[in-house]
Amino acid sequence: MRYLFRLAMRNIMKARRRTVLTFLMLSFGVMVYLLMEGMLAGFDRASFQNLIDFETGHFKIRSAGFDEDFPYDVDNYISDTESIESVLSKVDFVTGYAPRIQFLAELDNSIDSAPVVVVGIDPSLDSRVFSLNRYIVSGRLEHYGALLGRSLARDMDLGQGDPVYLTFRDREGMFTSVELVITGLVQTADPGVNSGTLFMDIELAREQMGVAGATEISLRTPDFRKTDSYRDLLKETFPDLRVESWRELSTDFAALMATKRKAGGWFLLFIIVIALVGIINTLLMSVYEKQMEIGTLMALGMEKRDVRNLFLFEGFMTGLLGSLAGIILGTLINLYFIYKGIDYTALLGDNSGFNVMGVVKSVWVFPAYIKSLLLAVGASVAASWYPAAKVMRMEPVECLRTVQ
Amino acid sequence: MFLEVRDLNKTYRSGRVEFQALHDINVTFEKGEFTAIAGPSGSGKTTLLNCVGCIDRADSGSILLEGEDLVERKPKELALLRREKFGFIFQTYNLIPVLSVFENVELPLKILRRYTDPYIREQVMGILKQVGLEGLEKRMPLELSGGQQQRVSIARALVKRPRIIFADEPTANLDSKTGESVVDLMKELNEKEGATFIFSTHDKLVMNRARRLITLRDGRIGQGGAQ
Repeated sequence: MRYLFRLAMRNIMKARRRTVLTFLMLSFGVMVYLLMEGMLAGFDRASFQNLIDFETGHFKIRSAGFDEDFPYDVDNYISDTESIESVLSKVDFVTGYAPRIQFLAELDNSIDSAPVVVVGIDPSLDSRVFSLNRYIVSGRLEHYGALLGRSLARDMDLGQGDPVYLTFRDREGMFTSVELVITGLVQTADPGVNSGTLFMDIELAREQMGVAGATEISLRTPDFRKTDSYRDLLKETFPDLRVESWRELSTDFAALMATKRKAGGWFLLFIIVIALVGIINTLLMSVYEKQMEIGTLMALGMEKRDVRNLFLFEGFMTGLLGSLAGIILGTLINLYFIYKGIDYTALLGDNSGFNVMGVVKSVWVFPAYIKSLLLAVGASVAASWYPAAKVMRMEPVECLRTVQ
Repeated sequence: MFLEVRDLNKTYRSGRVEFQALHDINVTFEKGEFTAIAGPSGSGKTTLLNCVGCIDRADSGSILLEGEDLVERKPKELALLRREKFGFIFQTYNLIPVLSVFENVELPLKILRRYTDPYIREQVMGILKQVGLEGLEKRMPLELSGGQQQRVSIARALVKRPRIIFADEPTANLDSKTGESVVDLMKELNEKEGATFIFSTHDKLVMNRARRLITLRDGRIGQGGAQ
């Protein structure tokens, strides 16, 4: 077998141009695969991180009867948030908690109006759970002030210092208006927030709405992965409330991400098919070019099985070396994206449909390395099967006749 | 009788076109013979050699090697036979271009898978010395002249000490002087090693050196028959 392996290696090295071409196709395929897996995983991580940092926290406590279909209904409110906050302040794994109040309103700039989701926050508590401060592009939240999504501000021709009127139904169902001043603008990874959310002081919101509690209380823990154990403890602590982890709160989002990943998978399959067609073509060319050699080997008594193995070895080595080259290239380029990342917003704009913004960094996806290696080697061997089978059907003289 | 060919027929087909290359060939070969099969192009020399050498299949007839018929044998058995008992020398040398002289010559022994590396080395170096290629073992085929390449091919055919060596027009691609030296070498090895040589040629100079001449014409043994 050793001499077959040596012969296969010599054949690979002999047809340098063809070998380089096949290597390039394979290594390009593997490289793109690794980069895409790394970037998609990076997007996933960034998206979930944004979701946690901006929307869900690690846990959300809501009323037991919280209605998902009418999330802004006043009936969803937890009235006694103070006692909950008091308990939470004593739970050792809760590093921060933040009540938020949410309701629907109409934003008016005296010329145009637009529907908005109003989020009432306590700036000092909110920053211990969420990273809203990170997304404030100008100004800050003040009493009788509002933070507005930058896209909405641009659409309504509003800027910092401009007055707006907010109209909504209070707890009694009466229309209420309040005049606020835009004291800051936010630009987040969530297009919905950028174009349809207004942040205001929770105390003012409660006052205007005529309520005392909050729609929800979000929590931060030391380790976002320990959701199960923390959730059980929280549920024991608050048996009459609804406690959900960020995982449970993001199932729809996770499904969306999985769909996006599937689309990426089809793209990868396309690249692999192109690489495979290249390998089959290369090996078929190799059979035609080496027909005389194959005939000679058969005449010398080499069994067809060994001649077939020669081609399978070639396919195997091509796959192995090509994928290793791709892995090295992919690793080096991925290394850059892991440390430098891609400025996704600069590339695709604010509302690209992904829940990320700014620089997104790639991550190492080790299973992708094993998968790409196995896939490339397996595909190369599979691709070399056809020319090998073609050889198996030939008599020695058929191969020799081509040159004699 | 060492090798006997009985009523051998071979027809090539290409679409609707048929060409009978061999017609009822009957010929025998004795052990240690140095036999030339002569005839013009298209007379069936190569076809006869290929069929007897078991790299092509006859349509009918028998090829008996020491009394055993080879025609009905399975491809695997024929590969074993070629591996164990036959050697081949080709008109175009058919050296493996990616292997050195040494590696080309050791190939039949490697295919046999029964010898140790030191033994193979000893055999290869010995045969290379015999064919006058000592010192060229590391060269690649393309670095050799036509005559040297044919010597490598002869060394490759002889290294495993086969029972029969089939040589198809071994001098056709060589100038007359080199061709003569190649035939002299084959003859010398035939005498020293006792291997049976059956070779095809249309070169009169080569024919004259054969101990026995079989002439073929239009796929039939010629009027002179086997001499």
